[in-house]
Amino acid sequence: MRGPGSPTTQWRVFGVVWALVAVIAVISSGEIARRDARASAGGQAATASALHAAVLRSELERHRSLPMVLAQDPDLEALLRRPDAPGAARLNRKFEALAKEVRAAAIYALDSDGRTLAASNWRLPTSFVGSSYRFRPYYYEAMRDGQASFFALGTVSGRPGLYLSRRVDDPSGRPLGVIVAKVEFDALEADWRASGEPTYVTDADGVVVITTVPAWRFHTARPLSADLRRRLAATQTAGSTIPTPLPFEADGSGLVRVSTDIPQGLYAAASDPIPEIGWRLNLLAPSGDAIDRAVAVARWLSALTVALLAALTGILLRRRQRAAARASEDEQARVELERQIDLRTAELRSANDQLNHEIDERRRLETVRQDLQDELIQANKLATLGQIAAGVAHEINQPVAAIRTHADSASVLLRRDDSDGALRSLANIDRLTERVGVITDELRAFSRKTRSETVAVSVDGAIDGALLLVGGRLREKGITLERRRAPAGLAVRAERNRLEQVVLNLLQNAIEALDGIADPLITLGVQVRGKRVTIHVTDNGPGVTPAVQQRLFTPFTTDKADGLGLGLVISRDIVAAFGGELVLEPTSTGARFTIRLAKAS
Amino acid sequence: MSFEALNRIALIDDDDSFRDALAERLELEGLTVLAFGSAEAALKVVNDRFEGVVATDLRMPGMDGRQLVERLNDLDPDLPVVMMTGHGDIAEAVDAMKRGAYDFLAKPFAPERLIETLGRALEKRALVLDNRRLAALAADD
Repeated sequence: MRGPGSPTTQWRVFGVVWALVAVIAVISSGEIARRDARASAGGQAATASALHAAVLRSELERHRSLPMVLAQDPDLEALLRRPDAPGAARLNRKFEALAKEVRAAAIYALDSDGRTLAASNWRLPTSFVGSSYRFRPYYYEAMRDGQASFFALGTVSGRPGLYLSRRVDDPSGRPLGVIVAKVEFDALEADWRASGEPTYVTDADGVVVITTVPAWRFHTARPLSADLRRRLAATQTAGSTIPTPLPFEADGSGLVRVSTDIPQGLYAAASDPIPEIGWRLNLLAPSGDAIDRAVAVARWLSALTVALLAALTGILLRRRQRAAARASEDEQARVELERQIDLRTAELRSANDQLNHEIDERRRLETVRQDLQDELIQANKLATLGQIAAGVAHEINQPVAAIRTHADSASVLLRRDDSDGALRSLANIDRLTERVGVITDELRAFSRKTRSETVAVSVDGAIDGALLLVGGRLREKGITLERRRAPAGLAVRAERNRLEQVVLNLLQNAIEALDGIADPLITLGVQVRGKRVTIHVTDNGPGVTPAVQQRLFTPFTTDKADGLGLGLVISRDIVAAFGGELVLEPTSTGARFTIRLAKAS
Repeated sequence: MSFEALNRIALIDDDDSFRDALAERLELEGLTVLAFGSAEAALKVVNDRFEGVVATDLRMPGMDGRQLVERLNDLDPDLPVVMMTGHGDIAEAVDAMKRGAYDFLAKPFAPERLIETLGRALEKRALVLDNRRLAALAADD
C-alpha cells in the first residue's frame, strides 16, 4: 500500500486534526467574539455613560446657578439682616414658587447660626422653617468657603438630594447666612432606569449619591476610611446608616460581574467625571447575554464552518483515497498483468522449447523410423531374394545350360571345320550371356539398398524387373501368368527399385497362395483411370479369409511357415510413401491386391 | 558313337533357348530331334511304338516331367525317358526315377553326357523294339 498509511489511519488523523481544529476554532472564535462583544459593549456603555453624564451635568448646572442668583436677592439679604415675620412669609412664598418652577426639592434660607428662616416647603408638615442645619456641611462649608454642595438624605424628608448652598454677605462682606437649594434626582433616576442600564453617581468620597438601584445608594465604591466614616456619621449624609461598600468593584471601565440587586450577569462598565462637583457617573451596560450570544453564535458559526470544511476535506480525502485505491488497484492490475504476461511468456518459451525438443525428437525418431523402414525394406528384399533365389538360380541355370550346350556344339563344329556353324553357336552364346547378365543386373539392382525421390517410373519396366526375378519360380511352380500390359510409355510417380519390390512381394504372395492349387494362375494387369494408375495382382488361390483380412497389414502376422509377415506391411508403406495405396480388393475367386498410384505426367 | 538302329529323340523343354541349343547339338551327333515346348504337345506324337527315346525337362508349366514319365510309363514301360533337372531338383529327379525314368541329368550338364545316356537308351529301345518284333513274328508263326 502506497501513501501515508492506510485509509483507516488517514481517517483517524483526519478526525484528530479536525477535532483539534474544531476545538481551537470554537474556543478562539468564542474568545475573539467575546473580545469584540466586550469592546462593543464597552463602547455602548461609554456612549450611554457620556450621555447620562451630559444630562446630569446640565441638570446640575441648571441648579447650581440657583443659590448664586438667590444670594443677590435683596429680600433675602433684608430678612437675613433683620429677620421678621412678613419678610419670612414673603420669602416663603417666593421660594415656593421658584422651587416649583425650577423643579427644586426645596429652597430655603439659613441665618448665620444655621437656623432656617424661610423655606419653600413652609406650608408642609415637613417644613424646614425653624430647623437648625448648622451641623450640615452645606451650612458650615458655605459659611466658611462662600459656597458648598452636599449630597445627603434629608433629615426631615428622609429623601436623598443634593444640597447646593451659598453664603449671603452684606455689602461690607459680613456673612449674613446661607441660601440652600435641595435638588432631588428622582426624575433623572427614573429616566435612567427606563434606559435599562444601571447607573450610579459617586461623590468625591466614592459614596453613591444618585443611582437607578436604590439599594446601592450611600454605599461606597471604595472601602471607607475611618476618618470618612466619622465624617459621614457626623454629617448624617446617609441618615442614621453607615455606608458600606458596593457589592461589586468597578473602577470606571472593563467588565463587572454583578450578582445582586440587578439582574445577575456581566456588565460593561463606563464612567465619566462630573468635574464641577467632583462626582463621577458610572454606568453598567448589561453585556453578559450579548457576549454569551455573540460567543455562542461565533462558536456555532466556527463549528459550522469547521464542520463544512471538514466535510469538504473529508470528501476530498475520500476522493483522494478512492483515486489512490483506484490507482493502487490499477497498479496492482498492471503488476498482475505484467506477472501474467511474464508467466505466459515463460510458459510459451517453455512450451516452445518443449515443442522444439519434441520436433527434434520427432525428427530423430522419424530418421530412426526411416532408417528402420529402410532396414525393414532391405530385410524384406533380402528375404524375398532368399525366397526367389531358387527360382532365380533356375532362371540363370537355363541360359547357362544353353550356353554350355552351344559351346559344346561350337567345339564340335570347329573340329569339323564348320566355322559358320561355330560362329552361329558363339552368337547364341553371346545372346544367352546377355540374358544372364540382365538377370544378374536385376538381382544386383534389386538387392541394392536405395532410397530416392519419387520420379516417373515405367510401369512395364518395374513389372518386367519383378518378373525377371520371379519368372523362374513361376515356371518352377508351374504357374501360368496372364499379363495385360500397360499402355506404352505409361509411368507412375514412384521409385523404380521399390515399386519392383512391391510387385515382387505381391507375386511372391500369390505364388505361395497357389501352392497345391490345380491350374494355378496369376493375372497381372494395369489400368489407367484419369490421373490414377492401378496395378493389380490376382491369383486363383484360396483367397484371404475375413479373419486374415483384418490383420493382413499388421506386422508379424503371417500364416506362412517362413517369413516375418512383413511383406504386405512394407509394401503398403512403400506405396504410401509414393502417395498411393495398396489394398486387398474383393474378387470372386482367390485374392486380388491392387496398387493405386498417381500417374506421372 | 553311331546311332544305326535308332536315332530319334523327343526333346521336351519349355525353355526355347536351351531346347534349341540342345537340339542343334544332338543333331550334330546325327540324331533326329523332335522338339516340343510342352509335355502335352509331345504326347500327341510319342506313343508305345515310338522309335526313339524321350528327353524332358522336369519343371514345366502344365504337365511337368514327372507326370509325363508316369503317362509314358503307362503307355510303354520300356520307353526310356531321360530327365533334365535344374539345381535343387535332385529330390524330384530321384522321385521320377522311382516312377520309371531311365536316368537324369542336372542342368547345366556336358552335352556328351546326355549323348552317351541317350545312346544307351536308344540301344535299349532298339533292343526292346527288336524283341517285340521278334516276339510278334514268333507269335505269327
